[in-house]
Amino acid sequence: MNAQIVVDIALGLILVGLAAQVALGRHLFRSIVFYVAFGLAMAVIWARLGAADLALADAAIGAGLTGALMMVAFRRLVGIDPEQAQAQMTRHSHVAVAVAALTAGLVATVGLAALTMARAPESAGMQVLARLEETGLGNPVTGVLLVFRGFDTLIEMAVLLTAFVGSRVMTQRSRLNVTTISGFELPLVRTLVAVILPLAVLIAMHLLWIGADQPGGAFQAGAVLAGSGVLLLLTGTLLPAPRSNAMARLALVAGVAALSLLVLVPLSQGRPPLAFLGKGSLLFAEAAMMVSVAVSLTLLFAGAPALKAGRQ
Amino acid sequence: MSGEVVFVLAAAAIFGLGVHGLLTAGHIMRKLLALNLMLSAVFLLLIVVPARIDGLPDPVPQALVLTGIVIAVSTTAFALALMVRLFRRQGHAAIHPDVDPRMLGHVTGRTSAGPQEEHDRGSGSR
Repeated sequence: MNAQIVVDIALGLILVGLAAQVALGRHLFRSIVFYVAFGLAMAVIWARLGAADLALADAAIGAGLTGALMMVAFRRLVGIDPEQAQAQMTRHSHVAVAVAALTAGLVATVGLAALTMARAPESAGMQVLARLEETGLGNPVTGVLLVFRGFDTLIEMAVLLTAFVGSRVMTQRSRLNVTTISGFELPLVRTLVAVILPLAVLIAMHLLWIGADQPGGAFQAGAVLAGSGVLLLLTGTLLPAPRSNAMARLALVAGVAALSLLVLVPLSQGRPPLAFLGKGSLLFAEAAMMVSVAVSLTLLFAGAPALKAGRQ
Repeated sequence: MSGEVVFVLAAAAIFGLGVHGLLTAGHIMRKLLALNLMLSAVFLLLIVVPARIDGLPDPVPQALVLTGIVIAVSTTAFALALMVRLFRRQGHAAIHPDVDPRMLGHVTGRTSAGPQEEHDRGSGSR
């Protein structure tokens, strides 16, 4: 038994253990915290598997932002009715245990069978790698997202926009309170923000810039920026605004608009939709997507249609 | 036993835990956590099962999973907004499939549009 397999087994056990804490833990808040830890463990496993793009995305989105969104929603429930918000309400059922065991067995059977099957030599991934040189991109994942399966990405941005609009419809205008960290006036918190924020912006721009050739890209960069937005909201530097404004709306639709341009411009030149226009056009689309991802996720956390400057 | 087998078994266990959580949880946020666990299990399978190319995972499923992660956080955020609204309206965060929702107000001793909801509507309109 070599060292690699020992590490893999340890990682697998950690992941399953954290998932068990999320699914079976008694207290809801504790489950949310364990979900954040689960997301980080997932990111480590992506890194181990060599999927660096996914490691970056899951660390920022899966662990960070999903956790933050769950915590702020939990905080809102506690604000309405502390007792009911934390009510246990879990039914114990032998049928559920049996069904869960059966499903797990089924997934394991299908997964293990798929592992032993002979893989087709001409997979989609091989074709992507074979044709990647034509685009001049170094990162095949970015190539798939923006060149080979651009429509998926366009619709993904549309889903993000739709989810934001749906959340706005559901959130009442009178509830515009994000809880700020108590004691944010402390010099330590301000210094922390002053150190972290420029670094986060730098990392986001770096991820955006290298995304074409190395792991990184619009989603990872947008998620890092959204994390900074959450930090600014928590420290009261940014505050939710009651009314939307042109800037916020422009930022929200930027991703969909830029990708629509990538579809329409080749059409106007008599080429097929989403025909490759060069690396510059990709950087433009990725920058717009980064802004949309960052602003949508920050506003979803704030539960507000726009942001305004808060205490300095 | 190779690393892939380990991760497939882990994904199966996490999926099972997710199914169990989804079935037994009363609180909607617990159901959402369970659904997110199941999603992660599917993502893990999508990356582990396809053949690796030059020692790295196939880029096509990687891009699919990257899309999936963003879609997951979007839909989770929307579901959480729905949950907060439902909680405000019915006073608890459970779904009772066996009970007619119109009856819930009588069961819990408050009408479906309680005073809080009325207040929100009043201040919500321009």
